[in-house]
Order: sequence, then C-alpha cells, then structure tokens
Amino acid sequence: MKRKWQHPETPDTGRQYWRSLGELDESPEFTSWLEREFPQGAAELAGPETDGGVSRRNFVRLMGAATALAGFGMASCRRPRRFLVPFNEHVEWNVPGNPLFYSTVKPRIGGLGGDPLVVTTHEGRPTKVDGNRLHPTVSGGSDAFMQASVLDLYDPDRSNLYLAKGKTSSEADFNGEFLTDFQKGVGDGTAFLVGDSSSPTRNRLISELKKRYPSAEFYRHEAISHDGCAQAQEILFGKGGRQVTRFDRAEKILSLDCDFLGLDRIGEDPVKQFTLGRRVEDAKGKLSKKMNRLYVVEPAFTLTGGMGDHRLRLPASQTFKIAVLFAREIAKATGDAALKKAVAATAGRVNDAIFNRKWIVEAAKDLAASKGRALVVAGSRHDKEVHLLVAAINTALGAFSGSKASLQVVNTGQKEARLPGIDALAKKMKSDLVRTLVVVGETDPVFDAPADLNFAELMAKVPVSVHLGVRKNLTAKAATWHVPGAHYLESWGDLQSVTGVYSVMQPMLLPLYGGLSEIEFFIRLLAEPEKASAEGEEADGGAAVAIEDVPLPGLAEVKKTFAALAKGDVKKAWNATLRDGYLDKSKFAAAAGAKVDVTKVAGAIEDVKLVDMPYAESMEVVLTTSAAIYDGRFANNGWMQEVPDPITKLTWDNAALLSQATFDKLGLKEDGELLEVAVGEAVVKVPALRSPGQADFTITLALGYYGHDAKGQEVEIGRVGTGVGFNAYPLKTTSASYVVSGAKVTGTGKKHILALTAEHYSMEGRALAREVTLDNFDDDPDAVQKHGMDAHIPENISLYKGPDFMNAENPVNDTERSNPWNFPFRVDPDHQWAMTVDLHSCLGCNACTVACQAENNIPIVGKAEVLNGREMHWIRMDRYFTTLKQEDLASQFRDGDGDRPGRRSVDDDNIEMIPQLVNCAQCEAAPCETVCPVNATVHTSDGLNAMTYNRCIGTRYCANNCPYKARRFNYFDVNKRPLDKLRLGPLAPAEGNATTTEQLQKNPNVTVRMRGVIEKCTYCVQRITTAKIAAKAKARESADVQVPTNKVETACQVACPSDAIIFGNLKNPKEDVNQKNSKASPRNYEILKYLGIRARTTYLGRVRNPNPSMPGAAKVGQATAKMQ
Amino acid sequence: MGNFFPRWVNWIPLKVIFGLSVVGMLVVPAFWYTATAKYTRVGYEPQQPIPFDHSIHAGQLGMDCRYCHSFVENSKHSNIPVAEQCWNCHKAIRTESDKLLKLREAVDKNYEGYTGERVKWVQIHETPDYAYFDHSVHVNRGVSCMECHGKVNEMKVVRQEKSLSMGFCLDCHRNPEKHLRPMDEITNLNWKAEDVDRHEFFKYLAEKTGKSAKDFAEEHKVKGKEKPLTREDIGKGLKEAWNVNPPESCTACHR
Repeated sequence: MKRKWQHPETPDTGRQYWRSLGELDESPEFTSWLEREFPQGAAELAGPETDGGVSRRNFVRLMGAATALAGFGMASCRRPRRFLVPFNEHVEWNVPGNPLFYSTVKPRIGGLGGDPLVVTTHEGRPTKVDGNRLHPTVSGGSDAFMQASVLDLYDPDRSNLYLAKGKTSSEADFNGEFLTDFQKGVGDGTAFLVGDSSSPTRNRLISELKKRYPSAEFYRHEAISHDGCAQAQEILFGKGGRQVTRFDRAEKILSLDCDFLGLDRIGEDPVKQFTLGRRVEDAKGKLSKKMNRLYVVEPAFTLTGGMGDHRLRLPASQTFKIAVLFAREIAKATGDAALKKAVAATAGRVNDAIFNRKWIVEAAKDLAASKGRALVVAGSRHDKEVHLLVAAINTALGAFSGSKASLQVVNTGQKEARLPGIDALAKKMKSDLVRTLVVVGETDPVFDAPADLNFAELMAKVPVSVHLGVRKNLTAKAATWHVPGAHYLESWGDLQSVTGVYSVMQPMLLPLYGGLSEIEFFIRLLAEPEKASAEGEEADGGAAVAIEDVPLPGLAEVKKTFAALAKGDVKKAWNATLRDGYLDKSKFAAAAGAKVDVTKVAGAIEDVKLVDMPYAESMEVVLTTSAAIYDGRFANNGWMQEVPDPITKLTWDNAALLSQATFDKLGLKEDGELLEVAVGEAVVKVPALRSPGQADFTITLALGYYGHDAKGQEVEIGRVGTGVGFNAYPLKTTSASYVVSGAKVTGTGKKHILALTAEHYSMEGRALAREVTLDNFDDDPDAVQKHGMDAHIPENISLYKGPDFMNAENPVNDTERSNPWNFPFRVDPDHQWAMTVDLHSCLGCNACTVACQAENNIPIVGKAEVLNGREMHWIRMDRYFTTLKQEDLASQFRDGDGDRPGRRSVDDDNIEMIPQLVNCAQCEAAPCETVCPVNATVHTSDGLNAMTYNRCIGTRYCANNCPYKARRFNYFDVNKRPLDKLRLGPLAPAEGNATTTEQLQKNPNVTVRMRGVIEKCTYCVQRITTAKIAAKAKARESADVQVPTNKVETACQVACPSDAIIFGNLKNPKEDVNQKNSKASPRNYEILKYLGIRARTTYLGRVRNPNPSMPGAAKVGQATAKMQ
Repeated sequence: MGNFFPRWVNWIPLKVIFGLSVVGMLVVPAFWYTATAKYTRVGYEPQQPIPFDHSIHAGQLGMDCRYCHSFVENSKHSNIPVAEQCWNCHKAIRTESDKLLKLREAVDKNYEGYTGERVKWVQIHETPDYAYFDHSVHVNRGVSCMECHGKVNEMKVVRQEKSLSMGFCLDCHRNPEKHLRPMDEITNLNWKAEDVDRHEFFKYLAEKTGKSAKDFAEEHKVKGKEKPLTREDIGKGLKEAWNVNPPESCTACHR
C-alpha cells in the first residue's frame, strides 16, 4: 500500500505565495506537476520531435532482436587498443592531467568595460570561465552570459569560412579581390560600422585607420545601446567625462526603471557593491552600517525590482514624468533652490493626479533625509533628458559631492566626440554615397538596426560590403564578403574597466577556424599591400607552421599600447599583468572640476514631449534586453536558450508580458495566445504571457530572437537558434528605440506553446522561502526559524539511527575489520561538507545555474523536452511571487462558476518576488538512498549524497522519493546527439552523433552521463576530491590531511556575483560556512525541516527594509512571517 | 473428485528446473569470466612501437621511475615521457640503433627520415572512463609503483601484472597496511620489509605519533623483540603515523 505523507494544511493567514498563476489558482495542470515527479505520459518516448525515433514498445522489440544477433558479431569481444601519445617536445607549464588557469578579460556585454576572467584550460581547451578575484575593482562574480560565453567558442555553427555573397570563399580570394585594392587607398564612400568597445588598442587602431584612410567615415552601432546615458554625460562632463556609480556607498537608492542588478549593469560592479551595502551581518555577526533601502519604479518585474523594498509599477514612458515629480518633491524636502527652479516649469505640465502621489512624496522625503548617502539611477534605455534630470536630482541629494560620494566622475581621456550612430550611416547609404561598407562587431545590423532604416535593403545597395564576426548571422550572409571572426578566448586584445583598470586579453588557443580578431582585422586593413598578400599566401599554403612561428600581429599592437600605459619596467609589468589579469595602479583620473550644471538641465528638459499614460487602445511596448540571449548574440547558445528567464521562467522563447488586467481587457483566455502588436505599419505576432507586477497596458517584449521572417520562414541562425522565439526588432525605430507608445494590440485566437518551467519540480510544503522585515529581525533575530511548522515540530524521533556525522570519531577499528563481511560505515573526521544559500543577497540571476552546467557537463534537452518537464539543470532557480490576500472574499476570487470559486486575483501593486535556488541538499537521512535497488546513490564518509552513474540502472525511484525534487533523469542520449536532434533514439545511425567541437567543452573530471541515468548536484564532488587529494599529496609523511580553509569552492559559489552561496567544511571552524553570516546566523533555516531529513544545504532568510511611512509598507517583508 | 489439473502440469517443475539450470549455466560462467585474469587482462603484453626495455633502464642502469614519469607526484596521470626526454640521453647513446627509429623520426631534426610524427605507445594499464584514479595521492602517501604495476624493473616488455579491478582497489583501500612502505622507498621496486631497521623505524614512529616502541608493539601485536619487522607491522605503523585513511566511498573514484 502506498503511504502518503500528510503535509500540513496550508494555513489561512492572509499571505499567499506562488511560482505560477496556475499554482495560485490550483489548476489541475499544476496539481499534476506537484504530485508527480515527472508529468503524466513521461514514460512514453514518442513525442512530436522524435522523427526517426522509436517508441518504447518498438525499442524493446528492436533491442530484443539486437541482443539475439549480438552473438554473431563478436566485434565487441576485443577491447580496443588505445594509445598514449606524448608530445615530442616539452610544452611549457603543461602537466598532463592538471588544468591550467589563465587570466584574461572579456568585453562586458553592452560595450562598457570588461569582465576580468580566470579561464580553466585542460590540455589547451578552455572549459570554464570565472571572474578574476584578484582584480582591484571588480569582485569576480559572474553573470549567466559570462558563464555561457565559453560555449560560443565551440559552437558548431560559428563562422568558420570566408563567405562571398553568402557562398563559401577563401582567404586568398578575399585578399586578392578586396584587401589589396583596399590597402592601395580608398576614395570617398568608404564607411566603417563598429560596435562599442573599451579596448584602447582597438580604439587606437581606429584612429590610425582614420589617418591612413582620411576619406573613410566611422559610425557606431549597438543593438542595446546606452546612448541616452552617454549623451547626458557628454553634455554634463564634456568629452571623456564618465560617471561611475558606487552602489556600496548609498544608503537609499531609487531606481527609475534601471535594472542595475540584472541586465543594465551600470557602474563597475553593481551587484557586489549593492550586496555589500545591504548585508544584515558580516562574518562576525555585526555591522557598523545599517543596510540600504531600495525603491524601484519599473514597468515589469526585474531582478532589481525583486530586491526592492518598495516597488511601484509604472509604464516606462512615464519615467520622465515621475522623475520630474521626484525632482520637485526632493527639491522641496532638501530646500534645493536650483533644482526647484529647474523643474518648476516642467512639473507644471505633469498631471500628478495619475500617479501614486503618497509613494513619491514619502520616498522623496526618505531620500532627502539621507542627503549625501542617497542615490537615484535611471535606466539606460531612457533618453538623455531623463539622465540629465536624474543628475540634477543627484546633485541636490549630494550624491556627487566628496570623494566618498556614491557618484564619481572620471576622465577616460577620450578627446574625440562619440562616433555618429547607424542612423547617420543609413542616411548616407540611402543617397548612394557609400561604396564600401565595413561592418565589425558583435551585433547583427541587418537584423537589429532600427526598422525604419531598412538597413537590409540599404546594405544590398552597397557595392562592396565586408563583415567580420564570430557568428554566421544575417549581416554575414548579406555582406559581399564575410571574414570569420575570432572568439575572445582566441584573441590578443585589451580592455579597460569602467574605472579604467587595464587588463590584457590573452588567447587560450589558436583560432579554431583561423578567424581574425577585430584588432588583427584592422591591422590587415592598415598593412601595406605587398605585405598583406604575402601573408595571405603563407596562410593559404597549408604547410604546418610551428607554434612559435605563428604570426601574432595582435600581440604586437597590444604590447605597443601597454608600453605607453605601463610605468617603470615594462617587461616586468607585462608579465605581472598577464598573471594577475590587470595592470597595477592603472585607473582613470578623477575629472577635475566636473560638476553638474543644473541650469543646463533646466534648458534641456523644458520642452520634452510628455507621453500620455498607455490605455487599452494605445498600449506601450517596452523592448528589453533578453536575459537569455542579450541582443541576439547568444541565439545559438543552447545553455542560454534553455536557462529559464529569471522572472517569467520562460525557456526557448520570448513573449509579450502583460498584467492580468490587460490580459482580461484583451479578452484572452490563456497564456500563449498569439497577439498582434501593431505600431504604425510594423506588426509583430507574439504570444501573450501574464506576468504579476506588470504595469497595466504595458507590454514587455524581449529583443534578440530571430524567429521567423516576414514570409513565415524560419530564420537560419544555427542548430539551436533557428526559428526560436519572435523577432521584436521590427518595432524598434530610431525615434522610439526601446519604449514604443501607441501600440494597437489584438488577440488572434491562435496559440503558441510556451515552455515555462515555473511549475516544474514544485515542492509541496510550507514556508520555503522566508523573509522578515528589518524591524522584526532586530526584535527577534530567530524569527525565520519559527516560520511555518518549524515553531512547533516535535523532536525528530527516528527508528533508524544513521551515522552521527558531526560527532563520530573514526569508528572503524581492527576488530571490526577482522570480519571480512563487515563493512561498517566510516565517517570522515576531517571533512563534512555543507552549504548555505543567503536568500537575502540572492538575486535569482541564473549565473549559478549556467556555471553548474559548464562545470558538470549538463546537457540541454530542447524545448519539447522542457515542455515534458525534463530539463536537466541541477540548480533549479525557484521564483516565488507573494502578496497579501485581499481583505474580503469577494475580491479574492474572480470569474468563478458554480464549482470553482474562480481564479484568485492578484494585488499587482503590492507584490514581491523572492528567488530561491534549490539543488540537492545532501540530506543526512536521505530518502533517495533507501529506495535505490542497486546502491547507486549512497552516503559518503564526508557527508555527501553520492551518485554513482556507472551503477545507476534508471529506476527513478530516488527521484520519486526526493522531497526537494532535485534529481534529473537522462531520457535521451542528449550528450551524444547533435544540437538540433537531441531526441534521436538509441538506434539512430552513428552520423547522428554530436560534433567534436561541442565535446571539447566538457570537463574531463566529470562523467558525461549517458541515457537512462539519474544525475544531480553532488556539491561539485570532483572539486572536493581534487582538493582532498591535493591535501593528502601535500601531507606526505604528515598526519594533517584536512583540506586547507576555504580551499574547496563549488562552481555555483564561485559564479555567484552577490556571494549568496557559501560552501565549506563543517569540521573546520575557520571556514566561511561556519561563520555568523552563514550556518551560525540566526537567519539560518532548513526547508522541509519537519521531514527530519537533516539537509546539509540550508537557507538564510531574507530581510526587507521597508520605510514605515510608505503606502503598502505593512505588506512588505511578510512572505512567511504570519504563517503559524 | 475429478482431476483439477491436466496431465502436462506434472512436467512443470521439471521444466522449471531444467530452464533454471540452463539459465544458470549461462549466467554463472558469465559472472565467472569477469572475475578471471583473462577478463581483467592480467598478462596483457602488447608490442610497443619502440621496444623499450624497462629491465635495462630501471633495472640494470637503476634509473628512478620519476626520471621519465616525471609528473607522477603532481598529477593524476603518470605521464609517458615526451620524445625529447628519451633523446636527452639517446642523442649520445645508441643513436643509430634500429630500435630507436621511431624516436629519431619524431625528434631528430637532422635525421633524413625526420617526420615529426609522435610515438604512439600502446596503453597497457587502463581503468574505465568512469573511474578516476589519481597517481599523485598514492605515491605521495606510501604506495609504491610496484603495488599496481608489479616489478617493472624486471620486465623486458611491460605487461599488466595486477587485475586493476574494483575489488583489487578496494582490497588495498580497506587494508592499506599491507601495501604501505617508507616514503623514500616508493620507487625502489626491490625494497623488502626485512631491510627496515627495527629500532630506526620505532624511533621514527615515536617521533611522528609520540608513542613508545613498546606501546606500539603491544597495541599492534608486533611479534618478536629483535626479529625483522613484517610488511604488515610497518604498514600499521605508517598508517597511524601518517593518518592514512583511504576513502571507501563511491565518490573517491566515481564522480
């Protein structure tokens, strides 16, 4: 008989929290997700995409035949001969079997600055990138893009050949037919289109190109630009003036539609800095400074909004208006006459009745009260007027004054004005003034340029166009010449961080496909004609070139830049820079006398056109950066396509996010219904998706998905990204880049299936993600430990006494050993591993999920399998929304019928978000272990819940019995299959196998799991074992074999930008995990504690810091507090 | 009463027994086979591209294992030397030998037959892909090369001496005392327990553990007062002195 655990009843305490609207409504679909480990029908192999695959019944039949025939072949009876092939000559630093770590730097996505990196290479293959913690100003956290960038290097669809008009060509042809002529000099009508970059060498080469080809013109283009921000800074601080935001110095922060913790990372290291200012306690348990408070105004939930103490949903087009109102109130509260004067005229035009006036007034008062320690930031997507106004507000708040202020202005030394944008180029192209166009950079202008420019048509008119890029994107195919680009892990280069710390980008390997970096490409363009053709022949000759003879023109140029920057012994400094990843003492000088001239601001904002609030007939579309594929450059990156969006939990798609009210108004029935969004003549079709906390009549739509073209054909972009999502770029125009007003939205009645993971692996149980307010916490620090049932669960009495991991000495002695059948469980007295996850600093950004994927060889499974709930991520980032229940029952439910009370309504104005990552918690009394029939999952002496893949026979009993639902199953041989045929069956022909390039990324220290095997997090056991082995090998004749303090770090811990994950050894009191901000914190609690499974991964509750006078303050920080 | 069961039912037990015995006859040999030396390839002795003779190099000449397998103490792999390493000596000794042809082709750039093609040594000792063996931790903690590879210094052609099966590994991990030796004798494949001076050894143990020779002898039942120590006595001492606790958890080798 099946015994069913009776989970405690949901207490009716006025608080609700949910992962999806289905959960909130208790829809039958959700209940099925909840009760089953995998959804119904999951056992059947057949699915819509198993073309050429087999159903289970067929499979069994065929396997039977195969077994019967196996005896005839005998081919498998001999073990294959394997060879050990050493190098002929010693390779510097190379010790077979040991990884090498190199420092380098990656361009920060979006153009400004760079992310300093440490790259792990195995026998010359880079397999993993992490932040460089030695760097003086960037703390070394990751984001998901950084973690996934290594996969792009091995993308089987990346550009590997010269193309001429989209057809295969060669380097010799390119050199002969284009390059030599170009080098002989160009006349009028040559234009360059480049991306933003902080590389001093690249920027120097551009000025050299300008000198060499005086008639050539240069333009810049980024699909997701920071134009408004940059323009405002140029107006205020002149050329080379750059404002650097220091979030750790601010006590009160107001974000006006700025996702600085997510996709709009302004400043040097916003996440770490913000986390530092927000800590509840440090390792000693005390802090001198109070934690910061964050106000967020935004149209759709972002990671920043989720961290906010107070959040106001507001259409993005209203940001300027609310900034004006804030300016007025702050001027009033601080008595700042200049600011008051500056906004007086504009404020008169704003009708403040439509805003939540109390919200603005109280927040402004609070900011003004912390004058000197308050900060206002505005989103990069907004126009320069918003940024100018915010600068004026910041001046009034004292954010610019003093060397300890949160806003510093530095001088980047740039003397020239910013390059004109793509619109200026388009104008020239329209009048046929461009004869030769050179496009360089990560963006894909044919795809992502503003739609009103018709860039694709204009480019077709240009007689000669050259494109250099890593991806075979639409521009590469449209250009008359395409030159394969080199990935940043294959190139020499350099970058300056936001504050000017100089780093050198060094290659980990020679370009896999002989691509050129931007720097090398510019060098070729700069070279004299004879020399270049000689080089071309050499490369074309095909003779093996010894590694020391490979020409490295990029290196020479970078060294030239370096020599000009470094002081003292250049060679020594160069070596130190390569080793540490940055040039010591390099940074931009403070801009002398940079001051915000408020009168300038007043002039600039006076006649800004105010946009009306969106309404049903004229909605607003906010075009945002995609958290998965940025502006489209990660479209063919499987890790990014499959990682669930941090907010919506949507994979393999983008969707039009809209609020419940808008949804109802449009008369939509369910998520995924296709909408027609028309702005002027541009029409896009996108699926609708309800998103709590969304501003009404505002649609948020992520850019970057290639989807289908106007004729309905899939846009070819690679095995992963082809036909995925819906192209939103047609809505982007030069006049309305990211905030588009006046959209007509209609439902089409058709449905698109969205692969949402919000309901997958739902955990039944109470008080999972816990939070309190700062006041509560000060009164009762232990409060989170008493939430839910935990206040009154009885002492756990277990009939089965497992080993006492923490107190046991080594219990095995010779007498016990003397019995050959006695294998007593041995507890490691030196190591017991554990983890804490601090929900207070966890943003939910996915960096850990992708880092885990890179470290542990976790495959992607494709959209169809995600729909089946079979995604493989070992770290599941749960995201809970929470609100108070409505006071009266009538407003709690809507559109009910006789049987059901109807769907629960959501208080969109007072909604909070808490992310909670769940991985295997390594329970000491693990329910999975007792049900495994083959002992494939057992406990180890150091307290891990081990998974022995080679022993697993795939019964999936363990996954059924896991209360955290942390186990994953390989339904297909996805690791073996090509990216577009992940669901090929076991009998697929061998040519259906994956390309070797993808396999080069795999971590050699982790088994690549096959089909039919359960897998899960094991705290990066390969890292633990390596550290233990290193400690023992070092101990030699000593008895001290304990791993040195904090020496083992899991991949997720290293990747976490906010240090929310702390992992370590419970047996070493000096480890971080045993400090007062980890296991010893009063906020430390165990989820599902009442099951008595003694999880090793515990959580630290979140503390919110609401302002009591704000409207809705009583509803903040109460996600679990009222549960009994 | 009529007969409930038809006549053929009488044959069922016999059929079952016969069937089971047929299955048993297939299954038992299958399991048996996997435990034999043939399955585990003990005695596997392939021809190498260069007939390198360990008995000359490591035996007669007395070269240390680590001259060629130089990273064995630092890495999980014990490396096969790069061709350059062999050439260090052989560019002076027996350079013209036919046996060294493959090596010359690989490294000697002045040789007319130089191809630069790398030497493909045939792998003899092989653990499965899912077992992660680490050389460094073994040779740094008192386990000699000999324990797994046998007396290579006496082999003209290297062959696999031990089964290297999981049982073989676990035998030692459960009872390491039978396989430990003093740290400076790791690569001395001719080392014998009798060579160890009893008094010196106890002095060493006293230094490491703080236990007197007498206490130690009593605790571990070391026999005889002046007799040479046995292998196991030494192993027990070293195990305690160095805190040798070989892991028996799955994750020690499988990850």
